[in-house]
Amino acid sequence: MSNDRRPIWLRALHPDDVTRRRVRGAILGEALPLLAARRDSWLDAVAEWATILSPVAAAVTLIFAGLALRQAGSADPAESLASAPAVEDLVRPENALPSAFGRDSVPDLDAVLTVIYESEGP
Amino acid sequence: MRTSASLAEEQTLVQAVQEGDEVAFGVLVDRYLDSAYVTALSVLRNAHDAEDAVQGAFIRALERIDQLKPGSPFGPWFYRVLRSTCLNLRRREALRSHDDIPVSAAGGRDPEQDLQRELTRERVIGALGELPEMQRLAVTLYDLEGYSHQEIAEILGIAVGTSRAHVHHARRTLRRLIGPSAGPEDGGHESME
Repeated sequence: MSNDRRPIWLRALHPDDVTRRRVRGAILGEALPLLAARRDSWLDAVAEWATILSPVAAAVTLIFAGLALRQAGSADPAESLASAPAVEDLVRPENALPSAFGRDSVPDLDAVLTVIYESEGP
Repeated sequence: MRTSASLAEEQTLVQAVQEGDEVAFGVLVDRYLDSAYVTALSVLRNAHDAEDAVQGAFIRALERIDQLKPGSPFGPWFYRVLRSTCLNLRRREALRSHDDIPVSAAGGRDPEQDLQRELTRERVIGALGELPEMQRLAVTLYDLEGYSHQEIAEILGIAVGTSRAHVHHARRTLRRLIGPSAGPEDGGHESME
């Protein structure tokens, strides 16, 4: 409701500027320590949570690190062979791939393995 | 009249106050100080007590602001705190009497205007004194803060129809005692809601 729509009797009860400043000052003066305590307690709560959560965060990090290492250790050998550089490393220069397996073409895994087995002999 | 935007802004202010923000608390004080003072003055009819009640209500509200449910408007909750503070103060003051401190004791720029204002105020306070407390609170909240009957019912813990009746009877009494400046007996801002 805007001030001018208020009945006149209500306007007569409003505090004057001096009273308003005095009351406001008294309220804020009493409120400041309470607000400071609130800020402190809020920061304390954040610090407390950080203290509680830091071991949990460390544990979670360790678990994930362990999982990552384990996954890296148990990688599928077929997948390793499937990568072109790995295949090239396996093939000695004297057993270089036939021209059919040129660098431009993508080598077929079965064909590559067949060539390797044949070159090593029984 | 409160809009959803101002309510949302107020909820942000309340949250900031809960975290100890002085500026946010100052904004809430500025927003509610005048109407809280008028409400307290209409209940207590003494300027000194009204100041004490307003100060006490704001501090009490600050101490208990965590009890305000998230999403709830600050205003009605604050007026419940204010009302309870006024009633406690009145009970306490009833045990000891003291002389009224003139409302405009601090003085203004124009003494004649101050005197006129003082006389009007005394007349209004006297008229309010003729009203039962619930009528006094209902008409103050309705005319001062623009609260709906639904909100007043919630603040005062009464039925919506009772709030309408209180405002109607209060205005009729005020018209009789202080003239047409008390506003119409019926109608008001609610018709626009």
